[in-house]
Amino acid sequence: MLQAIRERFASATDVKTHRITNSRFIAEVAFIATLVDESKVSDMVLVPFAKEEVPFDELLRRNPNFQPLDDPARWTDSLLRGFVLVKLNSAIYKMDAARIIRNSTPETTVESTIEGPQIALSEDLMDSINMIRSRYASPDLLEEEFTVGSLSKTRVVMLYDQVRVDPAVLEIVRLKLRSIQTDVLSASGQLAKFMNDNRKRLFPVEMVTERSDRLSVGLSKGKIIVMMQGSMFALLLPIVFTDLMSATEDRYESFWTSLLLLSLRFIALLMTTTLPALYIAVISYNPELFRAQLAFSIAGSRASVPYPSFIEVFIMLFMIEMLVEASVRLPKYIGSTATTVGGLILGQAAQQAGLVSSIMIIVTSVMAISNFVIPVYSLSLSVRFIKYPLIALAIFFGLPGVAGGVFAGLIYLCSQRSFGKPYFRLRLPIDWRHADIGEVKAE
Amino acid sequence: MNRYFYYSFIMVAMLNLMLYVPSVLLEERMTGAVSSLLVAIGLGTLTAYAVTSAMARYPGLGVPEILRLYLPEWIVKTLLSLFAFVFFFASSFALVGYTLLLNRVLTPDLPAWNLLLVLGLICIYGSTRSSMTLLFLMEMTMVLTIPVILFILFKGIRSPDVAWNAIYTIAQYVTVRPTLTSVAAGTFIFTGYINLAIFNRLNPPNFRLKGRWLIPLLGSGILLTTFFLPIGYHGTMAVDRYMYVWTQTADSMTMSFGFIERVLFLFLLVYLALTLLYTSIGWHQAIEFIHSLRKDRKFEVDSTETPASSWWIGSIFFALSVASMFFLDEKLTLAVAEIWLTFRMFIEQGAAALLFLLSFKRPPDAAKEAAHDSA
Amino acid sequence: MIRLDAPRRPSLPLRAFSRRLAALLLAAALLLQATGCGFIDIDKRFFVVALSVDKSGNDKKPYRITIRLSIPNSKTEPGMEKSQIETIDAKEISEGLRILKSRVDKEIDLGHCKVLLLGEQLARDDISDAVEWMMRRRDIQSSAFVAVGQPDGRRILEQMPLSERYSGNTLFLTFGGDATKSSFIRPIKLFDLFRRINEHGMDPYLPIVSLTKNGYEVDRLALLDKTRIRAVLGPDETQLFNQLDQQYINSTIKTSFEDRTVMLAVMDLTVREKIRRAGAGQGTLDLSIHAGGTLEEGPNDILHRHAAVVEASFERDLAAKTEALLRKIQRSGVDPLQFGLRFRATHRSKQAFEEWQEMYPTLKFQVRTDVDIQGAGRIK
Repeated sequence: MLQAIRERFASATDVKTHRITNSRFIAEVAFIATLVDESKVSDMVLVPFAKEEVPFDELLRRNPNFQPLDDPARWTDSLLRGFVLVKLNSAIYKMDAARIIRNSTPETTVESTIEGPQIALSEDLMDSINMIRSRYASPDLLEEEFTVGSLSKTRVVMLYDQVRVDPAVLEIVRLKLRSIQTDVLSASGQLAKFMNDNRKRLFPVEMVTERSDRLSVGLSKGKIIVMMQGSMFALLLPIVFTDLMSATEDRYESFWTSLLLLSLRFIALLMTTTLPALYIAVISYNPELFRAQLAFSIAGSRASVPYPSFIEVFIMLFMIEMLVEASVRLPKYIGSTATTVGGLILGQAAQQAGLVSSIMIIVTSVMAISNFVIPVYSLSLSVRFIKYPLIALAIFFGLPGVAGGVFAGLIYLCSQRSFGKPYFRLRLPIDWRHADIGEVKAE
Repeated sequence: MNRYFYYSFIMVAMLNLMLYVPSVLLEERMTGAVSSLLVAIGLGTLTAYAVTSAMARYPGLGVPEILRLYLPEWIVKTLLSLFAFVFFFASSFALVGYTLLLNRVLTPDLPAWNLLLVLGLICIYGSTRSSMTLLFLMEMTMVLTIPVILFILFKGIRSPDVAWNAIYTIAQYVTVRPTLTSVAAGTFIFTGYINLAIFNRLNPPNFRLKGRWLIPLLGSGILLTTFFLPIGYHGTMAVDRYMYVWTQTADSMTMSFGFIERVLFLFLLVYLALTLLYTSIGWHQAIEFIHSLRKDRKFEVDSTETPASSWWIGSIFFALSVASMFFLDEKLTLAVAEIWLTFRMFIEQGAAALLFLLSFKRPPDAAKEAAHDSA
Repeated sequence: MIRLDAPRRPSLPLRAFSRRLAALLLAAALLLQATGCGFIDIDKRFFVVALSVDKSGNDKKPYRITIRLSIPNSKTEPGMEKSQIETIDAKEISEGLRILKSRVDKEIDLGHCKVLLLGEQLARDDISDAVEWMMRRRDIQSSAFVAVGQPDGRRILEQMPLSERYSGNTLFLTFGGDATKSSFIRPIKLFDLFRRINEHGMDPYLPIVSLTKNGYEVDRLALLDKTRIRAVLGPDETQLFNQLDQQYINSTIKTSFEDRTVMLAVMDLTVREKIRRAGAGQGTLDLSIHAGGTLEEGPNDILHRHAAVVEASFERDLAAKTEALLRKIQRSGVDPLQFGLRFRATHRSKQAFEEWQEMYPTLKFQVRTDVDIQGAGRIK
């Protein structure tokens, strides 16, 4: 065996192969030193072998940690996943001694709440499943495993409640997971991208989340969780658009509070997409929309701006997008400096220099803040994009262009399906008593 | 689903303004419009009841499929082409009419066809989506617009500017004999049921339309407001001097404490959404009718892929609308609207009667089986 | 936003072609657009805040159009307001406005023109052409206020009230009813004026704006037949007119008691009218007024000792004044209180309006009043 392994890993220096002997046996041991926990190897294999308290062949047969591995084709695979291979009397056993470097049960950082659970998923798949299972203690919770990536061989696990899940959706997801073709799979977002048939999709049709409470509630609603080794984010699908707009906190607060927050977010969504476009449309085509006083003060503050309104909008949007990008990429300590310099100093100076009007500064800031109100990051990214087509429509067609653009966006949203399920629709509680529209097809 | 039927009903009823129903009615306000309204309410309700009960016997089937169950192929083909034309014409007319209006009021410096270009492209996009998508779209749009419309109406009715004496004065002309054009214009309010022609395909087998008493209630409410509120605002004489009487009425209202002061803008934006929705749905149904001309074609209610033919048909509709823009002016539009409203009424009543008779021809059970076979 | 590439098409060349076609159409539209106009920034526009139409006295160019343009200022303080006045004489109003455009460096925008003034001379001659023009312009709001300027509209526009924050704001606030609520002011909106000009049985009126040292005074009302002024109501009559027509609360009625003036602040007011026709050309108008309110001025202990007497005195005076006002209106041959429309609304007859026209000149008035003193303020 050792010969075969050494041939296969000819140039790898961290592949350790040992031939060890004691009074009764000669055993061969092989593992990749950088992947395994060496103390585990010595505790489980080397020490018992040397001490000879139990006959070693007995130990290999009895101890459930050791599993027979007969197919030589799977040697490489097992070694690469951190197994130790032991050969004794021409029988080969494998033992999991993988040492996985991961963050130790981290706190939620991306989707933080004030009163909800504070622990995020782990980068280790087993820990994450543990977290979900402990929150969803049901025998119906099933687990299916897939391997994705021809080089990375990443373990991907699909979890669902077999009673509540929609079999049609389950079939689609299985098909998608099997058909992924890539070399390396490194993040959940990438997985999400592979599972979409339309690469040019504007809005996410699955939720990327790190919160186990969100996932367990999703399970109870018949949703499917897809997780991968090495990422602390799981995918939840299928979803509807409002799922992306709701924070986990909404479920923990009183009805009126969550209603207020939810409507606040929808208003924010509308504002962040339409404000710059509306600014152009109203300023340049229909200033009679405002009350007279507001129109005059805008005209006054714009008097020193030499450019047409859309250039002004582009200047400010460019600045704010750069700021947002910069503060995401920069280390935390420098990030705040960048925002201060950009936001306060540049904004103030740009207005005093007559480059942009003060109303435009307000419009831009409101737009940026509204964008941050959207609770799911992937959605807020898509929303950042949406405003540009609207601006183009505003430049060329004015107010009707913007309204038409918003309507086209509505059509687009309504035409989306999340894994075969409607993505954007109003669900009323009375729906469940009646058969739904379009169910003729399903039969 | 019940509520989708009522969305479509309210949508069509609201949209009457874009099809010059108030203009036609107000022109005859002293020569028979008032009594025509009453006749229209009765007739419209009756037709709506007949069509909804007829369609309820064939859940999961659209009009093309129902016709094919009984009638010879050549009749079916003729009827389907006729229906396709009716749907296409009504929705394109609304779109062109609204574009003219919007251009006149909001962007007088832009050429009108330019606006039609962008609105038409949106309608092509909308009409080529699946039937299911359009129902969702209809729901969203109606949920967003109905509160605004109710607000405008409430604002309008409560205003001290309304001269109730003028309304009473006109109401006294109820004794004048009804006229054909006015009745035709009035029944348009009730034609929301025609959208069942295609969207009945989406109704689940156990579908039953509930709350049909809402039809006369909502219909007459909208119809009377359409007719009488402008009279309240503009009096008995000035009211027919306006080209777009409802736009003028909206412009006469102000919200002194609103962010936007002029109700006109709210009104225009709401009707932009309604018109785009109506045209998308109308074109979509026309496209579906044309598709159904081929007997072996299986319909799909929620396909993710749009067939290329849909795009082509949609583009042809669009091209025809743009072309019509070049010889339609405001005067001609009004004349066309009047003829169209009458023509439409006869087609619709005829189709309703036909469907109603057909629904008696075979016991509903057999038809239901047929529904399953084709679905 | 508009996705044209979604569907799978049967053949590639076809697909590419239709895509290109769509792109071409779009590009053509946008390009044509870019060359067109319509895109004018707010700072390139001159907002007209008020417009007046006067008679110039010149027969060749009978109309004198004056516009007041607001000069935008980034800092707004009372009195710091600047505006520009432009005047021109022209044969037609629209032509005048077009010439005015050439005199200023920015696009003239009527979208915020909320106050329209008609010169007194014009209003005494014929307003119908001016009103027709205003109504036809799509950018003048139908809810703009119309008034008569005395001595003429131009001088009203030239006056700059001290407290003004935005030019034209004073007049607008006066009429708007958001800031001042005075029972002496009777605003009229453009669409209402147009309605009254066309209506059978309802005649137009216009408030009269005149100059004072620091601003304007709006407390009189001009009554018009369909085209010109037939009568002018003084301040007290205007208030009474408001009370009769709009049931205006926050107004006062006056009487005297033991040589002292007694004022009643009206808190609740109902006016009912009934027109009875007694054969060709004869009829009576029954008007019953109920007014209740608290005293604002009056002798001591009026509530307990003299309430009944004072109430009777109020009733007598109110009835007399009302009848006098109605007679004045009737004599002028106008009908701003829409009695005619009321008659049409309550009498089922094809010739209701002709009957009304026949009987209005000799119509008898029967005014019944009922005044109720509900309180006497803080003093008994």
